[in-house]
Amino acid sequence: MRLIPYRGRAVATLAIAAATLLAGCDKTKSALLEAVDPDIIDPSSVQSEAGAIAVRNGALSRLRSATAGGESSWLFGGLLADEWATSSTFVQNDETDQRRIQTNNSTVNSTLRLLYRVRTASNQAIGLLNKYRPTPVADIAEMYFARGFAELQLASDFCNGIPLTDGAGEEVSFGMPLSVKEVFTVAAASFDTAIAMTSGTDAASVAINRAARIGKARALLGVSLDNAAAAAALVPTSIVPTDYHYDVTSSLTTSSNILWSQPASQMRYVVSDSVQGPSRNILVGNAIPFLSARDPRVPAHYRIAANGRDTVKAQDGNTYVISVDSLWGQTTAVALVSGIDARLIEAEAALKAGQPGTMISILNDLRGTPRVITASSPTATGTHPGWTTPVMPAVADPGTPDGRVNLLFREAAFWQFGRGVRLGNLRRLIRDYGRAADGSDTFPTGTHYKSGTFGTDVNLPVTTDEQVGNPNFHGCTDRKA
Amino acid sequence: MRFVRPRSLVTGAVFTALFTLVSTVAAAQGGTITGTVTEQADGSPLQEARVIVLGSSIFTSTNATGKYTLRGVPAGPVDIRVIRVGYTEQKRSIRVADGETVTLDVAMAKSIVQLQEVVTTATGEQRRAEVGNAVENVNVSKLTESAPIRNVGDILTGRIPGVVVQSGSQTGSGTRVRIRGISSISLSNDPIYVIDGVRMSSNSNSTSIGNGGSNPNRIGDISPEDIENIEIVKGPSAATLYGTDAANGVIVITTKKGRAGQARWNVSAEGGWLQDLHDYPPNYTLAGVNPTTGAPLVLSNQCTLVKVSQGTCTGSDRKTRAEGGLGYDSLRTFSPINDSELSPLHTGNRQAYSVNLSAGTDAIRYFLSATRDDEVGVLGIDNLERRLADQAGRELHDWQIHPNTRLLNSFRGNISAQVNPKLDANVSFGYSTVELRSAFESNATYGIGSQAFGGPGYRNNGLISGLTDSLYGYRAGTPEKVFTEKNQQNVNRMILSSNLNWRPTSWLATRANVGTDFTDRNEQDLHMNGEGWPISATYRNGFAGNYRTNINTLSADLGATANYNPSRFRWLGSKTTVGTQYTNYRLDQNAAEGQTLPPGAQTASSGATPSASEGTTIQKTWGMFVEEAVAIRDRLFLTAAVRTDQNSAFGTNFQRVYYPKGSLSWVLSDEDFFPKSNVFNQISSLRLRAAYGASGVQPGPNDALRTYTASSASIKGTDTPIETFNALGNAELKPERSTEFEGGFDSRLFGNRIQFDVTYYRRKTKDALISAIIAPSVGSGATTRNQNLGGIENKGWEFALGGQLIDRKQLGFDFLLNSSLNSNKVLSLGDTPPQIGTTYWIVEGYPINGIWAKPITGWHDDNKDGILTAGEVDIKYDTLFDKTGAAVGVGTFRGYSAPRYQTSLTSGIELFNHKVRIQNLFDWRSGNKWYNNNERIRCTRPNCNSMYNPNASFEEQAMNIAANYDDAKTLDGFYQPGAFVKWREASVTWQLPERLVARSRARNANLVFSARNLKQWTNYRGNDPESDYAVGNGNDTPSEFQNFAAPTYFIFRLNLGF
Repeated sequence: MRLIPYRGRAVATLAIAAATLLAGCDKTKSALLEAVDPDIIDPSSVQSEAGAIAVRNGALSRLRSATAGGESSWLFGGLLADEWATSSTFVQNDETDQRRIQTNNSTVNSTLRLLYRVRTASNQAIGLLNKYRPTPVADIAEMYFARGFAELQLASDFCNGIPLTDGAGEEVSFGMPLSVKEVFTVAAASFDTAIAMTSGTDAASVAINRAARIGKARALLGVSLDNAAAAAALVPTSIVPTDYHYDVTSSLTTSSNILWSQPASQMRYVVSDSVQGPSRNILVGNAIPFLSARDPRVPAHYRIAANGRDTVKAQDGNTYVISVDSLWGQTTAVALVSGIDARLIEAEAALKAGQPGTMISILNDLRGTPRVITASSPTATGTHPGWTTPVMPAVADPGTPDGRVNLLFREAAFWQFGRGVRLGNLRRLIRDYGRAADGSDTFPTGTHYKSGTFGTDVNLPVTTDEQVGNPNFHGCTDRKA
Repeated sequence: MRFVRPRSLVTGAVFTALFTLVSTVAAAQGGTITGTVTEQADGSPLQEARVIVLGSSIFTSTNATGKYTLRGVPAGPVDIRVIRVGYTEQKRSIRVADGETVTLDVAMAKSIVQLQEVVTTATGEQRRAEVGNAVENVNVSKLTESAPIRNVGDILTGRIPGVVVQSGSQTGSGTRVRIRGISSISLSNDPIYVIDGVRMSSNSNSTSIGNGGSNPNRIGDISPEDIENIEIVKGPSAATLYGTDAANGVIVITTKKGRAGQARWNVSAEGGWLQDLHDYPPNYTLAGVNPTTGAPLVLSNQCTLVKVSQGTCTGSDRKTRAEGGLGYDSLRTFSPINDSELSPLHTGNRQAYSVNLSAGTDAIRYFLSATRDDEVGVLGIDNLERRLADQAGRELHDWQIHPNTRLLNSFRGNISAQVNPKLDANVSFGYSTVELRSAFESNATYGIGSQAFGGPGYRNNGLISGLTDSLYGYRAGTPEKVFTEKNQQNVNRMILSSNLNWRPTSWLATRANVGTDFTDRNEQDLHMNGEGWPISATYRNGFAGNYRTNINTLSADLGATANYNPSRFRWLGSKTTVGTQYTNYRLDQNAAEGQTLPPGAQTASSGATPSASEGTTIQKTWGMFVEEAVAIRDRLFLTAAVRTDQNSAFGTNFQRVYYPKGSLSWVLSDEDFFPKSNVFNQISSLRLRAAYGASGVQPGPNDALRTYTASSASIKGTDTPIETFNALGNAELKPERSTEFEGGFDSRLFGNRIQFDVTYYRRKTKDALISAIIAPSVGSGATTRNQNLGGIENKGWEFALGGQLIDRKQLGFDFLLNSSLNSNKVLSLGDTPPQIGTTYWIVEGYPINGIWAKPITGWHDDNKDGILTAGEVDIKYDTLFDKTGAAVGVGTFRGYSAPRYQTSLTSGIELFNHKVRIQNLFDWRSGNKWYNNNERIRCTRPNCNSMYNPNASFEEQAMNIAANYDDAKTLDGFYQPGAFVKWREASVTWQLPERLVARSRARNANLVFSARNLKQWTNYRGNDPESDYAVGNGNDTPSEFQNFAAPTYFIFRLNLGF
């Protein structure tokens, strides 16, 4: 073979390599590798007044998802308590209903994330609003309310040992586990800030001020029953009228009301009762039989099939649907806090103050007037009429301390059904009123209609994900109430 | 929008350099070598033999008459090598002078072991003997003629050691291909695909409509009839030069090309049927029976074995049998699946036709083909409901009758042109259309699997909730109702590749592969108003979703190879290759949905509540490489190379990654010192090989970025645009980097009669991307963040033993035994704790996605009533601690989730002067556990054997008690031995008599009867130990869950050549 000049070959190779490398200049590189994805938003894009508004709205959306807009601790807390029973095929729901929740329960984990997202989003919005849109101040106050509400719900529903992390900035500062009382205290402080910022008389300030007062009052009660008087003092009728409510809303085009979507539409939750199972032959130690009670505030009923005879079965194909679809429709607005909540706080303060007559009077005043629980709202095929309670007969003083407590919490359970209060109240019954954790006057007990028996959980666990991701957290400090 | 023209940039740079270069090099005149390559036995000409001038860029192929001509051969002594599949390679030395034409005829002897001697590498085609890696090859064109092949997955199943393929059960569902185990915790473990030199999109889970699991991938768009062969580049040691994407291996597909000579037509037609032959379990209920009449009492499924044991099983009279009452403890069993009137399983059918034309001259050759592949799956409305609908005059939709169908039309045109001796060009154009209809089946509440596996143990279980229609033993909805929802995917796909080879001098070869793979996917999810059953309040209002997706992969691969053979050192050959590769992947999708349709409406825009969404994915990689290959005395081959990549997904603080490689191939048997006597006399050839290399897997396109997302929500009663914090981002993000060593030998024994190859590999992945869980308290939208924290090891052995044991006129017997074993281990999770899932855990020292549980260690029927209850099952609790000593989970490693050991045996018997060939493929996989998630959910529904059947074994009862009654709530019993042997393929091929063939004017003809998935042997308690509902989803956490298993195919095929 004729020798190809090595020099020529080497030069040629080098030339090609050089040409290739030459193409590697920055301009070429950026042209070849630039990948602008329209799906995502760079953090710099929110550094403006419009960005601050969008992030604020995002925080309110997070608040919505963590309550009546997503499968939240409102539903799962109600499942663990006595409001809802499982009718789905999901083990996450079953074990929560059975009070045997594993710490890696993926839905509990999601509910926890929903609440924490409210905190982070609120904190981000507070920073951006202060920087780019300091007025109206009520908008900023609303963020403190949202944050406080998330903290209130965390403390109400989750175990002792709740970390509050600062994840709003680029650097994450992991929180240490706090007891529920400490978290209630943090929530009260958030509400306090909202109250302080809304001393104005404009409608927005008044509305946020009322909401924050109710929130703080609930937080104070969460810290201790000893705070009952202080709580009541925050929400007198003169400041928080009974017909006041702060709502989260839904729409056909964005997202449905979850209290309609999961129980009434998807049929994955049914209203709980003391008699359960398809044959209604399993007695459950349930504090309140929400179906059997036939209380007009919780208009629960079996859903009847189109033939007018058969009872509709739920998503699991086994459990009969017990629905409160009169209460919530596809886009029904739901009150996070309301004047009714304020009256119940006053009633509890009266009881604590040794004024049972005042308590009975407040309760009967609520019962004696038709109350708009939910307003009418659009649905895909028409309008949901909403739900207004009829005038209900007055209740009598049971005459015993325990009976009065039972009455107060029973009334609260019906007025506040499905709105994320019941689990916290059951825990307060244990903490502050000495009720048994496994007694039938609080959580459901006995044989579970799916399998096994009810366990002993009285709260939702802070999940394995927190343990995995937060070096300061090593599990709930205790699972007590 | 900014437009980028990468092709022009890179192409221009390189070709300018080349032209400049070439103009400086004087072109030598050289001589010409011509000749004929023939079959040694009978002297017949051999077409498509490759004739190569060693140490140069000059090569050609023989034409239909076996002739070849090599021009521009440098003057002097040259070595010529002739290679052809199925023949032993030949090497000749010859001298040629400038302007002289010399003749060199070569006769080739048949090789009994038939291997592809030329393999495709990232730097171009190369002799197998020169490559330091094991490169596997499947001759697809031969396979499709005789085996029951439906798709690329079937081609690869059981044919390559170290390659585990799992196919979905629905017609058109995707395939999972894993090469040498899984190496990535958080990223895809899918290999990449290259077709005719350009990158091909494979896209697992390629659908916008979740049907519960049996989702397609884009590999299914390729017709096997168009494929000539497939090569498997197994790991980083071989895939280095494919770059940041190739650590999971590369599947190189080469389509059929035209051949010089008169036009050759190949026509095939196949038809057959498919049936699900699995024996599905019945549903169970403990119910009452009237003691007098034997008639069923009012039914309840609330009585269980446990209640029987506890004596609490009461009848409608509230008494147990022990109390003299009716009780509810009579076992009833029923399954609509096994009821001929009610079953959603039917006999499907399949027809496929193909025609192709191959022709051309020495200058231009072309290949044209058209294929139609039409399959109707086994799912469909039950006979009873169909009959009732007919009687009622109720018209059923076609998609209710046949909810799972697939029609593939494929057209291909490949043109190869020899422009001049220095320049040849190939253009390949493939166009296919797919119409795929998938049934909602497994992980869907309203899927047919949930209804069929979830019903009670009796048929008369009332009405569908909210309707007046009977359930007929289905759980909540019947086939007629389930299949009212249409899930259709229409795909138009075009793969265009152009390949230019220019050899400006005898020592320099350049190449350019540029191509695009474009997929237009249009999907429809339709549920018409008033149909189906009210699984939600709005379901019967109707829903229409239209989803349009464009997937485009643009790739360019430019390279130049310079050969150097110093005449002073003829024992030395050198080859230097430089190249650059660019890949630009983009996926755009839009969705339009409409809820609440008016009657008869089928469009999203007609919905009362319309919505729209869109999404984009962009990923770009640009790499450069240089490779130096040295051949010493044509028997020792050393290669060293390095590649560097940049990628759009790398973090801002990470710019470039380097991947080195090196390999050695030594044909030991060619050495003079290799003994030629005694036992060594039986060694026809022996080659030692070793290779080391690195490769990567790129992160997700936006993984590095801290981001917000935008959407809208109802805020105070008004739909409002919102922005929420989503991803934490990671500025340090870089690709996973896998390095691999492999070594082994290839041997041919007993006169090339037996092939025996052994390979050992060890792959370590560092900087493995871990989806580190973000603590919920951080409050980000994203729940995980990819971090380069992990280390993973895969190691194993691969064996291939095959050959022709009998080769006589009346009887032939050949076999190929492939075997592999794989060991997978997470070496490090960095500073992240173990990832504890419900079933699959990721723990240091254990395999990725290992199955963990609290083990059931025994049971004791204390009251001797034959029924286990809570407290009578022994369960072990082992606490797993993280590095800080904190308890992170309670469980014990129970096994691999994927098979560790795989052995397949292909055997062929040829009879009657090779006129009849009987071929079988047996596939054995073991070393893993398979999650019987189907039975798990049946026990929670409940309707499973172990919950109700008094004859259920204690082992079966224990798995139910442990999962549903014991505080441990362990699923251990549902993790069951996954070992199986399957009779995967069988075929009988009959070469039709020549008289008959001649009468039809055909060149050749054969008739094939074949079958797939004929039988399985296993101890697995579920339906099928490779049945995975989510096989098409691209993940590696398999389980059998409310899905039917793969059916059995019976196919007749006629192949005609004209």
